[in-house]
Amino acid sequence: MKGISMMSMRSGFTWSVIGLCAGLLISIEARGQAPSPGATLFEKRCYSCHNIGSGDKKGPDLKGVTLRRSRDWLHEYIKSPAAMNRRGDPEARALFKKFAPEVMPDQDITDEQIDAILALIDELTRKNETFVPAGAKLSRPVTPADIDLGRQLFVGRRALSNGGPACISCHTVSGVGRLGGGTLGPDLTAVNVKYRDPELIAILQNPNFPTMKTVFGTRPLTDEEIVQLFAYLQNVKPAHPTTQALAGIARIEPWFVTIGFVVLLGAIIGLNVIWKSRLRGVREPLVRRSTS
Amino acid sequence: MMDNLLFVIFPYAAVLLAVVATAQRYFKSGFSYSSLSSQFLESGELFYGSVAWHFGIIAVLIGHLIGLLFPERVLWFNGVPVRLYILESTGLLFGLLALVGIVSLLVRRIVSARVRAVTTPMDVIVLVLLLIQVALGVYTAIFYRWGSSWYAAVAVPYLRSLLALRPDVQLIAPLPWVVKLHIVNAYLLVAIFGFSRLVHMLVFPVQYLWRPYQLVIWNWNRWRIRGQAPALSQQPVEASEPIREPMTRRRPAFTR
Repeated sequence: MKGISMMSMRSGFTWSVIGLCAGLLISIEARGQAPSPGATLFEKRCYSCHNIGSGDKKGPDLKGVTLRRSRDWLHEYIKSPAAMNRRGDPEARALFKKFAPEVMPDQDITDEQIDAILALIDELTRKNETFVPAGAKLSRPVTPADIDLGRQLFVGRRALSNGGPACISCHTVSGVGRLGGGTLGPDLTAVNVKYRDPELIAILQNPNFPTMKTVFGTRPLTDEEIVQLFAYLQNVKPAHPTTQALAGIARIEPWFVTIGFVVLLGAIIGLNVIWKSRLRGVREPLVRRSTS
Repeated sequence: MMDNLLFVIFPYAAVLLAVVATAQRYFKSGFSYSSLSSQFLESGELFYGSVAWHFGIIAVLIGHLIGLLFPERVLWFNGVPVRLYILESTGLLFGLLALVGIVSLLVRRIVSARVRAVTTPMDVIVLVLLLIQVALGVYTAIFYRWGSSWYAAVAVPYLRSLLALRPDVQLIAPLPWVVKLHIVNAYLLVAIFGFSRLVHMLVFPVQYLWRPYQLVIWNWNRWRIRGQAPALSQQPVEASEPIREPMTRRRPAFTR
């Protein structure tokens, strides 16, 4: 009995080892497999704002969304969230309220593409896994020299290879330039806290935010530029603790406005000096002369 | 749908309306091509209005035009932060100058009874639309920095798509509503162009810049004629014949 038991234990152990090895092999092979169409689409089109299984970002975590909402509702909402909100759909309204001021833009996407993304969400929900972007890797390790090269790209001292505008046009970070960067887009000072590394890399690869998409859709960043900008954004330190709290809020740059008004005052004085002997009236000088 | 209406159909309709109305007005009543000067009625406030307004708005419009024609050059220029700041500060200066000017002109229209008497409803509409336009532009410059760069990268491709007759409204769809209102209001100004005093910019006498001098020579003492010359006021004025005054300065005798 004891012998049988030992035999079965040994064979059980052997099978476990074989099973574990096979599992590892399968998982390694799975990692090496090309990502599914849904995963590629999700990474390109949705990952900037949504996670599957790792919490809310700019938009909600989509884990289990296929169980919470009907397929028709999801199709309609993905194509035009604003239209559903306007129509008064209670669930759409609740989402708009929860994630304000962020507004999900209308998506130019086919039914087949939506189905592929929903299939991915279904699969990961069923397996209780999180979405990890396959392509969100840097092309090479970051070096200290990349930080300054990234800064040069950010302010525009070095032009982006594919003709995209410099980041400073719309974004600011702490300590960039005397009058700071742009405020059309959000402050990127704490972007390395807001996004995890693969998320930030994925955004640099496929910036799926509405304005970024139109500007960089046809002028993507190169792999080398992504490495350098990633290095720079990782190393931006907030100048003071309030920077992060104010991030994304359009605000006045006091020096810029002061310069504008001071030069305006100078210009008005200058115009008065240039035209100091202008005709200031006809009748009044006549009367003055005749009475003096 | 609304975006298509405002940013595709409206601009084409506005340009068409402007061309047709402007041409028709030129051929039917060409002498109405004027901003009808009111300087004689009020000139003090007009200086701060007209001069500041015209310097400001012409510089701002040239800036918009340069961005439209050479967006890559503008982005290249802005590649050095100091140059970007100088360009933006200059733009803000002219924007503010235009704002001071248009507010002065509007206040003058309302406050001065004489000017009010010659003011048409269309004059008020033009001034209000221009005030809205400049205020939105200055607001954008201050709150959505740096406009010169993102205008070249985002708005110019849209404007060029309109000019190429392949309108792509998606390019500006994500812009803030303040900027969108600025664009729509610009189309509104184009639409009313032919019906308003704005036509005066088409008959701006640019030839004055290279026209030969016109030399005005007074052969008599105007003050003395009017009895206002302080030193000579005691002498009787002989009105029948001009009172010659000695030529103290000889001027070149331009005849053309």
